[in-house]
Amino acid sequence: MDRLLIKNLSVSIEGKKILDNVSLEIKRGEIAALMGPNGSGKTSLAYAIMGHPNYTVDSGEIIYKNQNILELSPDKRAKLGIFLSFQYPQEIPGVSVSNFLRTAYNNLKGIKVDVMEFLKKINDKMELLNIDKSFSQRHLNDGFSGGEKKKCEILQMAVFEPEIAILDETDSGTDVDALRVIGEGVNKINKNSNSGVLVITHYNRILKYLKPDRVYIMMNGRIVKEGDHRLADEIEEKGYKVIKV
Amino acid sequence: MKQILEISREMYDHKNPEKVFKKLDGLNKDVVRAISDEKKEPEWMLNKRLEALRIFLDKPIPRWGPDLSRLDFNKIRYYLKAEEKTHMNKWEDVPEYIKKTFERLGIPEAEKKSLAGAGAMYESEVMYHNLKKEWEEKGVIFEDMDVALQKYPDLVKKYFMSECVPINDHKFAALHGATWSGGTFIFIPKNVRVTMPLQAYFRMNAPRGGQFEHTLIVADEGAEVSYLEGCSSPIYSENSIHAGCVEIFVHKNARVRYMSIENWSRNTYNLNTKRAVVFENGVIEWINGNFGCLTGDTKIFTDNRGLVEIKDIKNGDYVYSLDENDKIIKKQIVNGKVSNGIKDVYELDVNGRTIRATSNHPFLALERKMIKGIERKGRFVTKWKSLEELKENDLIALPKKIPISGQPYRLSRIEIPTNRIIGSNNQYAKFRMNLRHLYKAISVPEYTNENLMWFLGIFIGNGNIWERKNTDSAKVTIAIPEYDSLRDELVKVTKNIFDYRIKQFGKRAVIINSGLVARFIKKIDFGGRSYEKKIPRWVYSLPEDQRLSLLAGIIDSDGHIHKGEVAITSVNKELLEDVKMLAFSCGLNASRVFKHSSGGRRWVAVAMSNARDAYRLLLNGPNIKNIPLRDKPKNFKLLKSTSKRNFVSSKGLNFKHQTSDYLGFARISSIKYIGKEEVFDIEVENSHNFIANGIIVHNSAVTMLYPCSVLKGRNARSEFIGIAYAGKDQNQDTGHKVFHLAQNTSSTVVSKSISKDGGITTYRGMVYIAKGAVNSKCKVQCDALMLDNKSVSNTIPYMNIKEQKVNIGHEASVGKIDDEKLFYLQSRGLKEEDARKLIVSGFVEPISRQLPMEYALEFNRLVELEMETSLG
Repeated sequence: MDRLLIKNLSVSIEGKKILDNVSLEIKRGEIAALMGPNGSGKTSLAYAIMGHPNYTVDSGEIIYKNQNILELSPDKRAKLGIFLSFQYPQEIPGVSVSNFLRTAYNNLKGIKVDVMEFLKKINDKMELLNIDKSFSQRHLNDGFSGGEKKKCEILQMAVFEPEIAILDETDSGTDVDALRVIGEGVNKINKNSNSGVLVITHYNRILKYLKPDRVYIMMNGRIVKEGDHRLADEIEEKGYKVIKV
Repeated sequence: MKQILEISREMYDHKNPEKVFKKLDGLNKDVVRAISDEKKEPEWMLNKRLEALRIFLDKPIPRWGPDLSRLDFNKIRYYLKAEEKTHMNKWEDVPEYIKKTFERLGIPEAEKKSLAGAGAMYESEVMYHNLKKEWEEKGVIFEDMDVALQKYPDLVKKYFMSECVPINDHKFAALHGATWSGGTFIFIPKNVRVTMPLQAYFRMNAPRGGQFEHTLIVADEGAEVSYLEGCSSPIYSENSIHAGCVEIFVHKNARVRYMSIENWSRNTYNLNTKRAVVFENGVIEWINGNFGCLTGDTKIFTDNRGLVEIKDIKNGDYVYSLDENDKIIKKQIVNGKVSNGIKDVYELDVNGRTIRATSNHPFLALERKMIKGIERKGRFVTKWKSLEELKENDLIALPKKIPISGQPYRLSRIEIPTNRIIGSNNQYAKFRMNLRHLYKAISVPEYTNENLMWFLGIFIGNGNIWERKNTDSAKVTIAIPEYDSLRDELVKVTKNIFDYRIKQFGKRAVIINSGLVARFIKKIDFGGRSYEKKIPRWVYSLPEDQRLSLLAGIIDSDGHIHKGEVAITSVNKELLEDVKMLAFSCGLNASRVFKHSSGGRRWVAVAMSNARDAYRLLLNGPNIKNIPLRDKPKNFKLLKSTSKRNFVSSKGLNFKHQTSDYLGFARISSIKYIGKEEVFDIEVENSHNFIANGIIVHNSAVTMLYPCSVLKGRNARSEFIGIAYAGKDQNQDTGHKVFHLAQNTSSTVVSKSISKDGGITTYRGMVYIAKGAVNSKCKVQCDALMLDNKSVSNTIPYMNIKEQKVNIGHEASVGKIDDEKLFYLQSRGLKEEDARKLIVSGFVEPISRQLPMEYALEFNRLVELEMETSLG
């Protein structure tokens, strides 16, 4: 199957329900957008897809490649080709970006890449994303600005070439230049690798660079509306107030 | 151990054989002369050695640091010839665990052998010679210390044990000065920069100096060099003392980096001195990685924490120790605990008390006094003897009683549930009931008392807690048959302590139908199934009458009096081991816990045990009459018993004058080889002995090894980076000393530690800033990473600042591996374990970054290996 399918997913954290009967799909080659106000459960959905241990799935399934991935640990989900760009990427001091990228790449692909070749690949991608060369020698997210962290997430996405990419608020905390780089990066991977992308955002900025095929609106843990890119425009114009729950 | 305890005859044979022969077992002028002569040393070196010997013999054993009173300097083999060493260090002789460690590290075969001290690394010979040629052209000297002394006597004379570590620095510097042998000499001339790190294993085929190795590094003005004393230092040796010396001179504008990765086989006495003197604008960098092992289930009575396994002993604990002059046992504070690696261990059994120790561990023995080689009848002296010197039937010291000061234990309160609602279904409907009214309030004493301890003893023997599934209602049954007089006593006691009246009586047992009593028993750690029960640690710090009451309860329920001895039978072997320690703590004598097939029927019935083995413990000695049994027939028999065993005589020998109320002696019944185990030791203030498993033992050694920088010239700088890893049962104590003696000197200390599985890491540092050393800067940074909640990290920075105008900083951070970080890395395809490893490798990166490539790899592998399992 060429899509990730979320069916009637209900999720709670420490007994508190945060996602309620959510259904959503991410098709390869398509860009979907998940919009909603702060605290509506968008990040929770991303974490639930990736398998964060604190999120308890009460019911529902997430199907990818003919299996219910809810039974898999996060690393196995990643190996299936699912990638999450974090809203707040973690800092890992002492581990260089290039070392991290190589370690992760080897794990994801189950191979051992040639060090020099891989270095070239990283450099190419960095150039493509307009990222300075010294970046790869810095420690992963350690002391990075918000924008740099987001760029680093997009660099990872570009290097790993996932089949399904979820971008959690990748547009927040970034300046206009970074936003453009991110938008271009997403478009490239969407086209070149035929990836399915879910863009999570609470406002419309990034959608200037991306044209979603499908838009979902989430409020209070539920998908309340679904539509095409015009729905996003409508939200931008009138805000979430227009959505009647 | 044995092979180093004799001085080689061969080396003296060519010179004055008779004279030397007489003095074989001593460190004296003749031995020193022989060493010097063998090496054909210049006159001045011989004089220096002799002067050092004089100082060594004069200086008292330092009161600071490790206790060395049991170290017999006369029994150390001070010098080994090269051919002997190769003979002694065959690869086959290297212990299996060290070989395995090398294999797991992926170290090449040849290097492994070199590391293990069993051969040189021949593959690098060609490479070495090429490098050597290049260096030689620039005037670099990189030689074996003995060779350097012949070839460059003036240079060596100028620096050797003069300004950096003078022979009169401390007793062991003097010992080193008198007996040093082998080592490395490095001299880098003015403005020469040696780019490649010099590594000890390039210096192959050089005789290994072993325990008295001298390393002397001199960087002349503007010179630069890195020296790596990696695993190629003699990490494996059976030496009982390691008194090496590292002297480093960093002249004006020079820079020296000294790296060492140590070390999983520790010497018994590690008395190395590592010191750098730094002149104007000079820089010394220390990079230190430290890995080691220790373990132990030996039980030690502490005054503050009850019975504690030695591996859990902490600095500041009070243990019991024998004052040899007054023959009394008193409490002493623990100053340190240290690992001695994995060693051969033997089990010594004396009068039912057993202990596992290395062959060099000292015990207090009683032996006949010898006068002029003749054993004097009837006269005894005490002497600390190592296990290998002891044999069956020898008399060794036992504590007759331990003066545990003893405090009643404060009991925690039991909360009574305010609302107790149960819900269920029946065929009609769901229902809910409030059972609050069913809770009968009980009272719980604030502190332990004799009644309570007796009750708990009965509970240990015959009690059981029955809990109803999924509720917190429970009851306590105590198996005392009908018509047993103990029933009345139990009813009385239960009323007395809990204000609870027992109403349910079965044929075999009485029932205390109170969830609160059950909860109380569990809360104070007396719970568990019959075969899981144990005596909680806090009991051992109770007053003696309360401990005896607990014992009485256990005997009243599970013991009987047989031939004047108390016999206790149980299916729970560990419980009997606990009871044995309890008995020792009350000054009773106890047997080994042994298998007992015919007894224990009652026990087996109560526990409904599926044919478990039964075990038995016998208690005897005059003090058993102190046990306040409440079972009248048993008590009657007990009081009639005539067990006099009190360790003042044996097999017709009377040595009462050597004993006291506290101290007695008994014969060793067996000494058996057990196998290899990780061993550890503690350091006790003043007396240096302690009571372990009910036997008086001496502590053996403590490692004190902190590199030291002396900043003598303006702008001199010192950088120290250290890492310590402590896994299960390990305690890593590392640190650094810096002396700021001139203006504008600066030092930085970065100490990283990782602890896991209950491991303990300690940073212990000392910074001294002299008056007048204005504008000196010192920054100490300690980062600790704990991989779980039970591990410990300590930081003990000591600062002695005599100057006002200075800048001192200390930062300490303690972190754990964040779950969010793990999730982040897992989402990138890393397994949880690999994610942890990556985080740890990042944590130690400031150190691995400093190492040459191959060592960095080895270092990372070592860290990963430690992550997977503890070494060895």
